[in-house]
Amino acid sequence: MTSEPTSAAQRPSRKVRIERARSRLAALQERLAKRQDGNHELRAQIAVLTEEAKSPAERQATGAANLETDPGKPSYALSARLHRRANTTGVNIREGLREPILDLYTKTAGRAFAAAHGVAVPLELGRWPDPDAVDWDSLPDRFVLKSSRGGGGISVFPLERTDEGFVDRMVDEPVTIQEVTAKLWKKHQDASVYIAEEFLQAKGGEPGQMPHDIKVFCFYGEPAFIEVRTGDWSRARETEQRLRTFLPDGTELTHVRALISAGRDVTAPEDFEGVVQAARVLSQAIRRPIQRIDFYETDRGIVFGEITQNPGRPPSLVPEWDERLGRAYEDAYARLLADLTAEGALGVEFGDKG
Amino acid sequence: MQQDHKGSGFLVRIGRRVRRAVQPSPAAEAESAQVETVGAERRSEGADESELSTASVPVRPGSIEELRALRAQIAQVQAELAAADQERESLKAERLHLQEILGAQHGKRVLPRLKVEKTNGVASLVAGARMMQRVHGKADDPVAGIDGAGALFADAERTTAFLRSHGVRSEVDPAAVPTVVVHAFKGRTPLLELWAEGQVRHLTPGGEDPGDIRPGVRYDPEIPAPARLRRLVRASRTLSTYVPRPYVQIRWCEKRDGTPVLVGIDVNPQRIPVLTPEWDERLGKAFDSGHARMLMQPYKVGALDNRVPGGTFSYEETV
Repeated sequence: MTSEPTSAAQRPSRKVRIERARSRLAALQERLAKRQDGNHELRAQIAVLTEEAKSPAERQATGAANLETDPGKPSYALSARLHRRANTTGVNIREGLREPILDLYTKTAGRAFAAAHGVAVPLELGRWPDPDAVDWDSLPDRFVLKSSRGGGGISVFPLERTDEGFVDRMVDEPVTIQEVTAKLWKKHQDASVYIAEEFLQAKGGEPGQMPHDIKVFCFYGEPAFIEVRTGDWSRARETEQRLRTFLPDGTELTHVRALISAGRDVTAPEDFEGVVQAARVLSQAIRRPIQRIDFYETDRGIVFGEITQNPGRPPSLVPEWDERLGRAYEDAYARLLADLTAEGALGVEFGDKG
Repeated sequence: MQQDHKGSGFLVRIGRRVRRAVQPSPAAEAESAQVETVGAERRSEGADESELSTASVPVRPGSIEELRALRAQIAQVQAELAAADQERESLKAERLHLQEILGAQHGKRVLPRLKVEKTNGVASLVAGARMMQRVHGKADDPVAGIDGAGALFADAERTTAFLRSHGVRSEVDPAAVPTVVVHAFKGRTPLLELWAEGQVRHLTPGGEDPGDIRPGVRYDPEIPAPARLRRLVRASRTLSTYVPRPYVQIRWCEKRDGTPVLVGIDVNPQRIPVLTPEWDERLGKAFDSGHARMLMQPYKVGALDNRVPGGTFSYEETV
């Protein structure tokens, strides 16, 4: 097709052309900003992956000429993985060490621990020894049914009653009692118990709107890093994880945990102070330099979620933040060792062979 | 040192690129500043829809100059977008290459990004020992450390008392020059290093020489093994068991007749061997288990128990 020459009369007025140019410029600027942000994210990912590709010795080096006398620098990833290896590769078991933080692993124990410290916990609606024993008729229209054991939301079912059965709000799909029961049995462990809890509703949200997970990375009484996440459930495989990252004072950090997508649809907590206060109280009572404590923000305030001794994925952070959190970890370990030493629980041991 | 460069050329290059990328060049900063100027113009335009002003060229609203200025800005943003697109492709290629390197480390072609965080990492003597040193370095007396072990072992008399209390009869001579360093991990001694004239040889506690495992120091296979290796190793195991650190260096010298003399128990060694990756990991595993044994001391007396107001937490599951 050929276009016919446009006469001056048919040409849009200058005013219109200026308006169009303005619109085009605005659209381009928006596209450029997105692309630049995307490149920022890519650079951050490259920074993370570059560190990950190094050996631990290279990674902790400060660049001193002599590696053998280089004092090294803190690293959150290296420290978190030391603790993770200790628990997941049998190091502690072989040495006869069962870290007491593991006592807080079950949802029931974690909740009792939080409640003992005055931190709000979800209301329990019922408790049963196995999935077949659940008294479905006694439960309200909305509730969460979960096993006391298991991570990643694999045995957690936020359910909403319908005429046909239930909707599983984690994946927004219909589900029957039989299906939920079968799934719970699949992951059943001898020591598991099954609890129904109130359906926590996001602060200011619609009925049935689940709150985002607020995950606080704590270092023996010092919450240092807060992530708000959604889509982070093993059962919701089609859902992309999204997160936003904050400091305890509410400052948002971007492209820090760069390997996971940032979520524009993730809501920031309103009550940072409440989150931090609850995390601090619980973390200080756990004698370990590192732990993660999860909460929800609801209309009735900050509510305890769970305590995680070894996150399935300790965050890989950009180098600056890996070092900052590594320093927070080392400060925490120093405080813990100081407390243990002051109590006479740690020190050089003399024998009695004198 | 030699190991500074071994096998790390690519990573050094990548590191430089990342630093360049993360810390923008002056040119990039100037470009960024220019964008801000354009943005500022847009903002000022937002303040008054009919006005588009620049500092240097006043433009009459609705004039052909305004249209030209807008077109110039469009061209500039298009150029920046093209440059950003080009950069994106280059960054994606770089990211993929790193994922391939990580994939090779994990037996895969490419390591997916979300799998990177799932790794347990690799145990490392250097990383573990330096971390614990930095932790103890936060004590009021960094040399003594938080547990005071550094101060205790700086005192020959108290060190001797420590030895005797554990039935170790060796003499203590802090002024002697050590010729044997035992790398000890709370009762385990997987490696000894022997020094002679600035050269080094390593031995396993069984007396086997693993060869040249320390790239930064000259290896001499002729350095003789200690005359009383087993006694020295046994004493080192005993002593390190009772020091609340995952890793210490126990330094010895030998009398002419081969009798070991303790030079010192160094809980804060300045020099930590940078070994081949295989040996750094092997001793790293020893560090990890030493770390667990260190925690056994407070664990046994309940000092690691979770606290609740008024006591420690205990929970029994009931239905």
